[in-house]
Amino acid sequence: MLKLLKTDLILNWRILAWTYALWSVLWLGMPIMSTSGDLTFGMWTGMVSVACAFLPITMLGREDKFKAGALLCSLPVTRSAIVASRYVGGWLWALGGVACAIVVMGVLWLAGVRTLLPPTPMLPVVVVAIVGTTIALMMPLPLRFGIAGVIGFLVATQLLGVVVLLASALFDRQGVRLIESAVRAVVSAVRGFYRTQGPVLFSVVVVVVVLALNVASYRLSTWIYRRRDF
Amino acid sequence: MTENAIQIRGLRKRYRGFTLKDVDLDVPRGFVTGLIGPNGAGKTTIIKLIMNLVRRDAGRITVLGCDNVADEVAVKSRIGFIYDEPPFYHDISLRDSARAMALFYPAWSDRRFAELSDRFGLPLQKRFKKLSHGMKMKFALAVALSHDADVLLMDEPTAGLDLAFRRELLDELTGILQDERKTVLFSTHITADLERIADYVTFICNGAVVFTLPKDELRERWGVVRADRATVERLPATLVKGVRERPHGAEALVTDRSAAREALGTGVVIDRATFDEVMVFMSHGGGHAEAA
Repeated sequence: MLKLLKTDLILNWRILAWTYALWSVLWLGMPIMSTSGDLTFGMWTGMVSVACAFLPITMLGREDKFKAGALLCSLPVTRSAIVASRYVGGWLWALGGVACAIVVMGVLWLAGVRTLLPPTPMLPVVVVAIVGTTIALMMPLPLRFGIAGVIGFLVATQLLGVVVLLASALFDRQGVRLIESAVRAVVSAVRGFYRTQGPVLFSVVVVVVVLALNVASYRLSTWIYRRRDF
Repeated sequence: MTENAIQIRGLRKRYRGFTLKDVDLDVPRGFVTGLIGPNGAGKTTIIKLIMNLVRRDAGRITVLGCDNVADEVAVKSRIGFIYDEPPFYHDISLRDSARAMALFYPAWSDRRFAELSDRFGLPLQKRFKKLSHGMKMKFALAVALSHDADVLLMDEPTAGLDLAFRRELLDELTGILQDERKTVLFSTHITADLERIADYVTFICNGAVVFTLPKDELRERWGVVRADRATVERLPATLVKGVRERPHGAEALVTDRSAAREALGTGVVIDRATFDEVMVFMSHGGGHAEAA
């Protein structure tokens, strides 16, 4: 596992360094440009987390571009170890990106530029939930279909949104209302759980759910990757 | 009895439009075996199956006595593998690529890699994409030889190289192999490569192994009878591997020139069979073929 993570670092250090540096600078602009003055640290970090969660997917895209998956699978290492390293590495690189951005923002803050409303204690949970859920949902795609799978998935979800909007405009809004009320019910249930159980238990449950999602995703990815022909 | 470094039994892999059919193959330890056949014959598939890069549908492969799937890590740590298009990261320097590979091999020797890099004239600070195809192959060879692999698997290592570079690469390989007695299995459709370095030749066609023979036996004993059709038809069927109709007669590939001479007498032309001729005759399924 450690060897695979080191290999990832050696082969991707340039993209990691550039992405961390460039994104940190870009993200600084986000709160500065926010004129309303109500952008919270948590909201900003949430957006940064979404972007960072795609960093490991980008790295897999590079591997796909150079057809290096075959090289990796010809090394003395099992495919399940390769998949495990994708998940562990994915978390590390994504959280590293978020940490990097937060440090840069913190420096700005300490320098006297009051750009964001203060963070809430739930900040780490938000980061873990976003990074973990994105990795769990996305990771099987590049492992099976390469970067084309990720692009296909993203395009398909965009198209699905367009289709739903068109369908609701052309026909009746009954279906859309059903989806809206389902989403509202889930949000309200989560909020209710947070209110009744308190932030500590809520955080624990969120982390456990995200980890369970990742374990399920890892198992699926391993099953897929073992069957992949290079 | 020769010990086998690689033993394949009943290997089967089905793709849409192509099937590798219950292949049995022995690769003797300490020798160079050339896997030859026309494009699409199944050479690359066999090599990928040995590396477990594709999943087999049936059969068993052992490398140095270990199952290539059950003992995957142990097997791969003893194999040096060279692709026809080495899939290293294009934007990474050779030094960094080698550093990444070295992590996985306990027997990796930096000194050995430095020696081979010097010998091949590899610019280690350059990025992989900046190298010519020949230099890329040399880099792949240096990596494959730096962890003291017992078995070298090479998939079309000379494909796409010009004649001079091909010779240089094969000469380097021969020099290294003479010193170390490693087992080599390489696929090629360039028959001149076999002449230069192979000890054994395995011919594969349409997903099936047609024969495995010592190269010298093939060179010394096999022949091509060039005569009129009636004379060719007098050859014993057990000797004939293939017949081609020619504008002024016929040609037959025979497995024993002396036996053919005995059967036909002294007045008939019987030449040594070249690898090219063997490939052309055998590619037509050992039957009758029209001359091109």
